[in-house]
Amino acid sequence: MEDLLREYLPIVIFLGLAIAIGLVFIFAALIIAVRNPDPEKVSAYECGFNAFDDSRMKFDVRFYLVSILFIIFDLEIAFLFPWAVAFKDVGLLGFWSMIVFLGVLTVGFAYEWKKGALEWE
Amino acid sequence: MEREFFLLLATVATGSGFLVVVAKDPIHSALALVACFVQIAALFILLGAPFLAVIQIFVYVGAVMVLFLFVIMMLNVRQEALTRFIPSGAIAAFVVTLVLAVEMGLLLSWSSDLHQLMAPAAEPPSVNALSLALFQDYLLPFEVASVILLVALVGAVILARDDEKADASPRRALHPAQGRVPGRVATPDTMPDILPDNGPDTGREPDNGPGTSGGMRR
Repeated sequence: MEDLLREYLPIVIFLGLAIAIGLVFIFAALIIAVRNPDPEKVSAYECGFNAFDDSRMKFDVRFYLVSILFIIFDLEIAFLFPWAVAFKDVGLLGFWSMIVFLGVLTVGFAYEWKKGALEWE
Repeated sequence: MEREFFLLLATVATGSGFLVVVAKDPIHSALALVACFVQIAALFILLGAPFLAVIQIFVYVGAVMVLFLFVIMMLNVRQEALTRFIPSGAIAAFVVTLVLAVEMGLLLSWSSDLHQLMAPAAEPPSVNALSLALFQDYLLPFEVASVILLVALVGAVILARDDEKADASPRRALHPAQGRVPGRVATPDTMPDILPDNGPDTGREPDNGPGTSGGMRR
């Protein structure tokens, strides 16, 4: 248990440093930087043309579909982690059960492709 | 040392959870929720369950938060930021929270099964043991999970596609900006607009017609 936690010490140090550097930048900008805003400087910038719209615009519902499909395959990957860790121990049965699992989801993937859910048109 | 880390993580998790509720802007709420999830993942590591921590980051921060963000993007955020809780709804929410809190307290104080579960395990559970259980003893539920995921996938595709066919044109109207300039590249005839005229951008497209490119922006 102690050993397990000790393995994560570098990550804690890394995160601590990252947070510290981020805070230093933010506060240095607050304290040192010259600020003299005008409407042009603070307005939204879009490359090459005037901003069409507020940045808080509504997004297309199709983004939502893509993210739902992403979650499903994300969960599939979550099952792959333990399978990969114990690949040698689960034996042939475990191997083929995962292939069946992936096969069922591949059917879903083919369906989604065929239906054009991945098209943006 | 472990205790100090637990206190730090639990404090940040509770604080960011509180921020999720009180933040005015839904986007700030979502960011606070990400912070909360990450703290909980770190707590899982502290409890000796690194696999659960990875899944927490992977599924909750990676996927569920994306769903939340897209829901937020479909709201009118400027307007939602102004509306607060409905007062009557707040009372109902308070009652439900109270009931849940009492339930949890009763469980913690009375249930003997729970105390057995909470007793420290003989050896820390390993991913290997989990996967042996999953792929040998619980094969059928594992395969059923794939079918459930398949059903979810088909359902999502059908719902979104039918929706699209039914109201293809209102969807376009949802983006007043999208029909304006097909392709929206700064071609020479749109160049003059780039010059600093900050007025409302009228007279932009004399002959461009409503574009058919509902393409993706950003």
